[in-house]
Amino acid sequence: MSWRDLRNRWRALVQPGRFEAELDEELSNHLELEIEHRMARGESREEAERAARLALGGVEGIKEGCRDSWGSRLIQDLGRDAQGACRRLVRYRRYSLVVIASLGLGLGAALVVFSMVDAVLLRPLPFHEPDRLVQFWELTPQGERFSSSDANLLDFREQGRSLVDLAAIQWPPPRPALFREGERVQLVGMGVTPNFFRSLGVSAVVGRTFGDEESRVDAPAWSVVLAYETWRTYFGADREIVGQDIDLDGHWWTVVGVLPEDFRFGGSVPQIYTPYRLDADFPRGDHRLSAVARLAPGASLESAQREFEAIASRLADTYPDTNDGWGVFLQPLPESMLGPDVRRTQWLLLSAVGLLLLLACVNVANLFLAQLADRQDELALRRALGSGRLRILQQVLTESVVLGAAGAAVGLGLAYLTVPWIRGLPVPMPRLDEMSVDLRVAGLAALLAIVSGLLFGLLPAWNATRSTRGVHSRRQGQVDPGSGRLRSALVMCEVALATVLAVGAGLLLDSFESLASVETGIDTRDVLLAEVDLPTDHYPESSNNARRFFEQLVERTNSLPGVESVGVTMTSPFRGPNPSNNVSVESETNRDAFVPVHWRAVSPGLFRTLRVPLVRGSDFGEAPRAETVISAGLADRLWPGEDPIGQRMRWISPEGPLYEVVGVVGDVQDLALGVPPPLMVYMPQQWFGWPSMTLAVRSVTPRAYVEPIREIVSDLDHKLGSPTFSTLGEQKKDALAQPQLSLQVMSIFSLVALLLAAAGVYGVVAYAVSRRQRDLGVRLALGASPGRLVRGLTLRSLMPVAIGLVVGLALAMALAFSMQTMLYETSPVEPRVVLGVAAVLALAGLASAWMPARRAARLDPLVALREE
Amino acid sequence: MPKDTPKAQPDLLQGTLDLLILRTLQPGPMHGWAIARRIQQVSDDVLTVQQGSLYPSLHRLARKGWIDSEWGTSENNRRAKYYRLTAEGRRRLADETESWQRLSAAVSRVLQEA
Repeated sequence: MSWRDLRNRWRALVQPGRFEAELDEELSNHLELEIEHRMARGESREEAERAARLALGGVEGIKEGCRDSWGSRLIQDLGRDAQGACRRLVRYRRYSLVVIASLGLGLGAALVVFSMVDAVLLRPLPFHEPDRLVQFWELTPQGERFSSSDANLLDFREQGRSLVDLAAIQWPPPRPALFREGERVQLVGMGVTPNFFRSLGVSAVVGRTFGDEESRVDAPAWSVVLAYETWRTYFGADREIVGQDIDLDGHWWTVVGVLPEDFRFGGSVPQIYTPYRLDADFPRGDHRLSAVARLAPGASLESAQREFEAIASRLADTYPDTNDGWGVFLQPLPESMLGPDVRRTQWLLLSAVGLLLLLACVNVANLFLAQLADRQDELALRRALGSGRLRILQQVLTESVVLGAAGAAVGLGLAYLTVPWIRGLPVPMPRLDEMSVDLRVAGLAALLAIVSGLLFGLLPAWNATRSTRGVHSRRQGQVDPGSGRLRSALVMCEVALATVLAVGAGLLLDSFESLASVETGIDTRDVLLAEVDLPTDHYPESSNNARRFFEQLVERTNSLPGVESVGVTMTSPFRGPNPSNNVSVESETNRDAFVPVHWRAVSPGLFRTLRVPLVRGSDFGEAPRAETVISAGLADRLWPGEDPIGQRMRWISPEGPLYEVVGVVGDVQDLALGVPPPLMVYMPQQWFGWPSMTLAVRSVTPRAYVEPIREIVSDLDHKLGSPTFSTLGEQKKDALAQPQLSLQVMSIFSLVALLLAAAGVYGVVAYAVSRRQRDLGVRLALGASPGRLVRGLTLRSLMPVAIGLVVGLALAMALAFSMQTMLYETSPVEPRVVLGVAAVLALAGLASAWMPARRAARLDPLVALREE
Repeated sequence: MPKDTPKAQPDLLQGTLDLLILRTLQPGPMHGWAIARRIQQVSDDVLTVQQGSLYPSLHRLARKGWIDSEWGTSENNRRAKYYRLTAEGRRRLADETESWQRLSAAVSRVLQEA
């Protein structure tokens, strides 16, 4: 088909009026010429007219032929069908609204979940060739993934060939305070080795990222890279900032560049990046750096893994004290960034929304069927007049696709409104903030519109065009039994689907409740937390400066009126960090017999503040001593059946230092809810002098101490930024945010599902009642009891509900086992959930069947009979 | 069907009618009635085109871009739609004429010798 041909078809399509008018004129002109020609030959005007018409032939037939020639026929038919569909939809307004709302809900939910899955799972990481990036883990002798140490990384970097740009991230992260125009702003920083950005393949939008200048060993580089948001917020997006010096913690740092707006690494969103230099003099056994690297050209994950395992075993030979038994594990970066929890959550939501969409389609198919039954006369008449079944099918399907499109438009609107809201939720889900309603989502909406339109339209349309009997059947007040059965089957499907969703939501609810009420070993009420980060140049680790600062902070906070107790801990509850180490009894010489533990540096008073019960012995003393408090679980493990108080505990390795056990406290789970409490060692902060601590304050009015504490901190060192405040309760809530999101979404889905299924049952019964009015009228007139009629109608329509419920429960239990890993202390066949769902659905089914059935009993027999 | 149709009128295949139209338009633009008339005259009234069937063909040829149309004034001082060959149409006419001649020559040979 040539381009000109297409253009001409298009013209006929867009200007049908002009084409018709010209055709009329052309044909009448032809007649005139023929008449004049014949009259010139001597025929009378009347004779000539008649002969001319005969010679030309049937005008309508010619016109049809010409219209076919214009080549715009098929589309015009479709257009006419669509117009007709729109007219009918406006006429059956209530029906159309219900259908569009129903599809809009289903499609909207599907689009929201899709854009979430797209952002979190599907879209590649915004780095250069993200599939070549790996997370570099060391493996403990126990086989646990662990972070790496400076000295080890330097050796790995020097000896390894199959990884390039092995980059490390500093821990703890720097938290510099920015001084600008007399304001002090506390920033979240990230310290990275200068090859970090090169490894990821990320370049700056303004200036440069870290490079050779920062890698030089001889001269320390005071360079920083700004996050895009920081550049915009604090520097007015001024391009001239590159090359200028800014004041961080009282030092001048040179801004070398600004990162792209969408740059993220993992879940953290640092505001400023500082260079970190690996320090060979740092203890080799101090594992605190996380590392990433890029596979060298030609290297595969397997070959790199082999090479680095070999290096690790060489290092173990060279440094048996620190490296014996340690290995290496290379994990693809995309995999390490998305934990299994995130994947599971995404898949759960995706399957749930699939079920919901299917349910919406079934529901609409049901409505469509009823509507077509009302139009059976019309359809039957058209078939009787010779309209082909396919032509009618085309027309009916056009209608359902038009409805699908309208539903998709509503769904797209819903998604457009909902997505920004979800994006802002404080859920620890990586890349959730990248969710957007973009072209892909719009494309999916269009696709779903057509697919769902066909899905819900095909069955009813096929059914409706099956017979030509309709004209008569209505007269005799009969219901087409085929259509009745089909509708019951559809209701059954709806109930089954709703049951599956409701069971899913119920299980999540049950699991969430167990999780939220799980015993953490600490009392999370009425505690204010203030995270204080001291700059390590003035307050180096284990320095008297850091010790004295926190000592004074605790002392002065304690003297505030109304404060019950105060303590500091290096681990902000439910946030971290979560340092770990190995311990044993004093006499142990076998390194492999050491017990892995988590540990926290804390001050005296912390246990009282968090209400962790002291089981034996005492809290730390005020004076710095090599003493420790351990958890009850660890006490049982190290000294079963003995009194641990006064025993000495070996720290790190057989050559490590000894600490005297002075107290035993209750087991505590202060990080991950739903995981059994770890074996825990508490170290005295006065001894350790850690520079980043969290102050915990117990009081009846915890929030009231935000200002006073801010003042104390500023008074102790006016160069410090404000601490980060929160309450213990809030932090626990944040820890529950991800399961809570799944729960909320599933609850909304199953509520919608329940409504749709109820509407389906209602529709079927209402339809049966309206169809059987005459029959019911006769029975009422003959003295049937209205109550029995209602009972009969209700019970009969409850059959599909009951079957759907049983099928749904069976299906739900089968599916529930696949989501078992997401459930905490909840069995997939939790009887409370199963019975609850069954009861709710049965009640909803009963109510929605009873309401229309009751109308039947109110019928006036005379009116019902006269209706015909 | 007009009753006075001559008995010997063969049915015109669609492609043939297209060819005749193109050939008729070769000398210059013409309107529909004149085309019908012309085909009839030149073929000595053997090919009485059912006048109506001419128009769908004209419109199809116009869509394909082989002929073009333009409103002009007819002999009786009326607005009439004139068709004329386009460059594409001329090429087509040459091609179709050649293949028609080959075909009819072949058919005649078969009729004479078989």
